[in-house]
Amino acid sequence: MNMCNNLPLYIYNEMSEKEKELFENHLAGCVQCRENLKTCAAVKNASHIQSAPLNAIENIFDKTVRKQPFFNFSKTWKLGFAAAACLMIAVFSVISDHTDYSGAYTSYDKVPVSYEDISNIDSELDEFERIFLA
Amino acid sequence: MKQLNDSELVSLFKTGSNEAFEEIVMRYQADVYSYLLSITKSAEISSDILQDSFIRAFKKLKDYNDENKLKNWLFTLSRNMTMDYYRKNNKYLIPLETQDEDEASVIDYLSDNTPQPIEMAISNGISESVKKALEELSGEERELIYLKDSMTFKEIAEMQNKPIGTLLSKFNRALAKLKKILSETEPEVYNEYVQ
Ligand SMILES: [Zn+2]
Repeated sequence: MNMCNNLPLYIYNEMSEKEKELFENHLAGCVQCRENLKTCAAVKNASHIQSAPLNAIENIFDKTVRKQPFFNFSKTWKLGFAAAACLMIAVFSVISDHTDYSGAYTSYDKVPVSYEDISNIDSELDEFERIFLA
Repeated sequence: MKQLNDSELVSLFKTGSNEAFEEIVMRYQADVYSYLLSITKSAEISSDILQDSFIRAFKKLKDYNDENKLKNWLFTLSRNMTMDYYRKNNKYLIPLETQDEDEASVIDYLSDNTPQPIEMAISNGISESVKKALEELSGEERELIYLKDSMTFKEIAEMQNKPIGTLLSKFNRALAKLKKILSETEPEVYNEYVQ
């Protein structure tokens, strides 16, 4: 390989001791390399490394190691429990208001539900949401 | 965490350690970001691609098996993300005839069509004149010079799958250009730096 071509390896200290010795011998007799030596060193010494903006690094962490799981289990559990409780309240309030005298439960779909019943259920739902989702 | 080498960090990450990933990000963000700046010449675009690259790395790292070449892998990943970014971005639509060519020609195309100056902090030790001179290099040459801040020629050769001799020739050509630009446009800087 052309010795002059190896100048950057010498400047960046990427030569073995043996290669270095050979190259220094070449350098002593090569005007071109001695001339290029300083340009190469100037480029090497002018480091171009700079840190990324802090917000970019924060964003990387937010979207990787600090990412919230899609399902928040404790919240899901609370929601599920609240929904089940509301359903039970709704069913019981309808049934208890419309039990006939024989003591048998009327079938749910035959119960005439009044506007009042619905608004009662609504307010109870609100109450449960307030308690369980707080 | 800081004492661990790359290979140990990757292994630790695979056991589910978030701290290992944080260390990988902190260890390489500046190298990758500066490299992206050399290609895109835009702080904003570089910041976007940096984020996409590390988010992708987070997803892919568990399947990654060559722990000794993490740095190489991250640079290759961010280089590919840069290509994707520009392919997806209509503003910088790449003409069809360059799409299937060597990626390096795409880098040249991008660099030559984004004339905004490299956005770098003035305080980082390199003079404005040298910066200006670097911008007159081809995208490929500038990419190589920036990569040299973070990698050995051997590592770059492995990453780009090119012989070291080819890279050295390219680097020397870039040096000769820089020398010429500086001596013509900024003789006093040339004297200060080079003589
Ligand atoms: Zn020589």
